[in-house]
Amino acid sequence: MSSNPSTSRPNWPAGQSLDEARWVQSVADVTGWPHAYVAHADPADPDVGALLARLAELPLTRGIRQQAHWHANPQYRFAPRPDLMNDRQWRSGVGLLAQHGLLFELQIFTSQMADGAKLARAFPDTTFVLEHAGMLEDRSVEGLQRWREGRRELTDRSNVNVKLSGLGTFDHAYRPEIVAPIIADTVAMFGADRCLYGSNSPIEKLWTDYTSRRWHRPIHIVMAGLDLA
Amino acid sequence: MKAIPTIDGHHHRWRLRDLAWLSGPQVPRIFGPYQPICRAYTIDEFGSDVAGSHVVQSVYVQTKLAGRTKPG
Repeated sequence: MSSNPSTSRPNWPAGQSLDEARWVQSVADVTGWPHAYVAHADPADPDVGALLARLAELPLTRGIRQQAHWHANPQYRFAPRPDLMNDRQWRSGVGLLAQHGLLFELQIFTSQMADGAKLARAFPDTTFVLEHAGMLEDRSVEGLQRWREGRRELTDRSNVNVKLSGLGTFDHAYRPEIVAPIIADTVAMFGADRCLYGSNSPIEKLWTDYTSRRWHRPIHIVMAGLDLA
Repeated sequence: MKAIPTIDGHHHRWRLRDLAWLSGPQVPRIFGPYQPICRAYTIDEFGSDVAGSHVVQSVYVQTKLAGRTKPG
């Protein structure tokens, strides 16, 4: 196993992560929005400790995201390898988050959820947030079963929360008949206290918008306990 | 249904110059064709988007990486 997963793709200097963070903070200082910030950092970077300390100094910073999702389909692939979460150096970086009170946003596919659960177990003092409800891209019976089994492992870890966002990503639409069951399943598995909402703007502006309330309609359907049929 | 004050826990915003892929050739992406978002997305536009939606706070998730070629 490579000791430095970041060498297989263009490296992102830590300064850019800090530049982005300072820009977000500066806009929030003027406009009041946003109210919190999830910054980028590469946990495998030997200098990540210094970066985390600088990021944590900014009032807005709440956590870190490094997209770890890997898929057999290259179009869905972001991370250079499926098992980034098992890399020793990467893990040592994740191990620094707790001392700064920072969470980690876990963007992974079904096939990576077992590793995600092991990661959450290894760092019980760190909060992890499963992005986009675990990115259900295979809605076949088998795909749904694997997704549920993977998420079951994650829900067993009390330090894993889940984000109801990006639910139209693979449909390129926001159809209640697709989205509402994902929301219902997620709330049933994790409990409402571990779920949060995200619009994924402006990506999902490609197929929906706030003002039509289509984002909210599926949530309201679930909350009202209505039968979609 | 009663309106519930909502935190949008996941959004981005960007300037056109921040992300190389916004100005690059259109290529197959996880979320399909994306020409309509190949432009600046400002915090003001986000504010307009959420107007009337009961979103009262928001969380920006990292996006901007100069030279970065993939969105997400």
